[in-house]
Amino acid sequence: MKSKETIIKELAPRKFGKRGTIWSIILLIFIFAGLIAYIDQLIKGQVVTNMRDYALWGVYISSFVFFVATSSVGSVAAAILRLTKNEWRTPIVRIAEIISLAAIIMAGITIIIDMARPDRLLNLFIHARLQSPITWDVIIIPTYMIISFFLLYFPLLPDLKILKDHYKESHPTLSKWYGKLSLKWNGSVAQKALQQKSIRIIAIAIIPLGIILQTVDAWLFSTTYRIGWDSQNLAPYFISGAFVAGIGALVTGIYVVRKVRNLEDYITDFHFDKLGKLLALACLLYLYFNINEYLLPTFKAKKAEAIHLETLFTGSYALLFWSVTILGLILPIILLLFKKGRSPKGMFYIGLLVVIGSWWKRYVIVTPTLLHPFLPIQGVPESWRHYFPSLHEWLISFGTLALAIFIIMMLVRFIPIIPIQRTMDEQNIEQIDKK
Amino acid sequence: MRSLIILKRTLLFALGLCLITPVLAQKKNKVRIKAQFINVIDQGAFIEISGSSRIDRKNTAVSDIVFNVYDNTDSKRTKIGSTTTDENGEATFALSDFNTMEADSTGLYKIQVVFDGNDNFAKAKKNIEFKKAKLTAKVIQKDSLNFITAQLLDGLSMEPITDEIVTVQVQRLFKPLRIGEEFNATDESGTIEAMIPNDIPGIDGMLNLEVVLSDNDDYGTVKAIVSSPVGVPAAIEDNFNKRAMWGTAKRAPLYILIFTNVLLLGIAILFIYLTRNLINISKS
Repeated sequence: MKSKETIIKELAPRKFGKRGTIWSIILLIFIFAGLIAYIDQLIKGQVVTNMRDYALWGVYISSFVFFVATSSVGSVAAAILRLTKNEWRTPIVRIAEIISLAAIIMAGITIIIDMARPDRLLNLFIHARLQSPITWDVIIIPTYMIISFFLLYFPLLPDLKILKDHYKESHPTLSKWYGKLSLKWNGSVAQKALQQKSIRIIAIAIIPLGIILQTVDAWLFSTTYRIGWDSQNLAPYFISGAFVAGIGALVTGIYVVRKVRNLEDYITDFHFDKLGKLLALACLLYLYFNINEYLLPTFKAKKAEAIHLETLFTGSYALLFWSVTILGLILPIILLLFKKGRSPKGMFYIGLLVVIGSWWKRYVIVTPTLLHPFLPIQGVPESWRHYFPSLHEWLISFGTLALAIFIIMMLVRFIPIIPIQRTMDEQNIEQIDKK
Repeated sequence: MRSLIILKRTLLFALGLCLITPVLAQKKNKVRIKAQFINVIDQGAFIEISGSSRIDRKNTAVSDIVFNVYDNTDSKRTKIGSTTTDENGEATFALSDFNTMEADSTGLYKIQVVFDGNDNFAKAKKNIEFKKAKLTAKVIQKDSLNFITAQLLDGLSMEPITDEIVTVQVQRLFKPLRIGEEFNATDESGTIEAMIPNDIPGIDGMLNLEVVLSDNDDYGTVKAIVSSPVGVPAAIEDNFNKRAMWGTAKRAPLYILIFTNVLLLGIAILFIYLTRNLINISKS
């Protein structure tokens, strides 16, 4: 059994090593390039994108849907594990909460990027139509952002106090900040009662809020009368897809953190095995909804819908469609059935496959539908009939992705990635409140 | 000697071919012009012009060409304006001064439509002649039945125009609805009469009835329009002021307003409660 000091030393945040610094620089370069592209887009307008009258939602909305999907599940999964008192959750919940917070912040930023005139953002509130899913989205995203912050912050309080004491002599300034953020935590019965009560309430509230977030996101599409989106199944389809994207991102994040921070003693093969089974279940569920979404319409598709499906199955989007379906969904299911597939390294690669597949899946959901309107495309230049993101769109999208990873890295840099207090409690190590 | 003559002729033929080939190559397509005079009584007169050309054995509408319109009445050639064809090869020229335009001694107006030619199409022109007609229409009631009656007179002599077929129709959204006999011929007083069915719907019961003399050799197309409340008031469900999902922000359904605001209130209370807990933690 490890001593208290060893646990604190191993779990306390620390400076980036050489690789971490290089990664940060690379991410900052991407963020900077994205920022420049965005400023240019602001100056010249969205004419710099390849979005036109028909493909009016492009890569930005694909990224937005991806971020929303990734954000909702980390917290929801962590909350479910909390409520069901699954003890094995301890080393993974904080990473899940960090990924969720970073992803929902980026979802909010991405949707503003998609607005041609962000200076009119206030109009969304002033002229809000409560009947519109866009208004619901405007409400639910900040709500989810705040609740994700609370879910991260409340359990963090005891750890912040530990860090305050830990860095008292080596880093006084940092210690001072941890002290302020710990809100004078002393582990008293009253404080613990308030903290536990709050966490329980947040854990309960975040589950319906996560479902609402995904549902509103799906309704943005399904309330629009368009081929491919006109489905009553779209909300559960999105929720199941979100579980895949969220757990995929979680697995990838956990593996990287474990490797970089040498946390093999805390995040063990057992955790990856459990997450692997969870991911397999999510993928199977998503596969089921995919079959519902694509197979059933092939029996009864009207002409316009048949053309759309043909484009996906054998047409111009076939390679992408089958790649995301086979590599991003079916192959992970097969690999996860084997114990070796659920090993840490195997899970990392599967997680990567799933995350990349999930991003492109959103692209497949958004773009082909817009290029197949019910009324035929007429009287417009030939280029408007096709869509592939412009350089500006790619730079901005990579910039947002880099910013999401950068936020995660910054949080990993300054807060303990595995709850210190809880780990000590589980190992019956003397707790600071008993001192 | 004979071969010399043949050679000379061959050379001459070749030279001629060389000279004529560029001319042949530059041969321009002909533009076929159609022009029709239309007079809508009390609303204005205009000439509908269309340009087409036989290209690759197909009649093709010629778009974006300019037609100059001249008044040739009394041998005075006065340009009265120009118009350009649209993508369907059609153009409309409004005779805005038609009421002040003077006819010749026989009451004839002579209009010439001229295309001056361009790089692709040769010059072309079209002459049209027409007289002014007076067409009056009114709705009358006989034995509780509604009739439309119209009289067609020559615009100059005010003599009745007899034995001409006119059409009686009701304006509809896509295509006029014909009413009355299949052929309504004007009698010796230039009059026709047609019964109006009593089951035609119209906004507030109003019907726009048209009497049309179509494409007449002497008078062109002449149309008189009369509005009368002889239809059945159309039952149009007005949803504009209703609270509905497709309504404006102020017309949101009550259940949406209540549900969303209750949800927002609940979330606000939750956030206030959690913030208060944070404050209490820092105080305890």
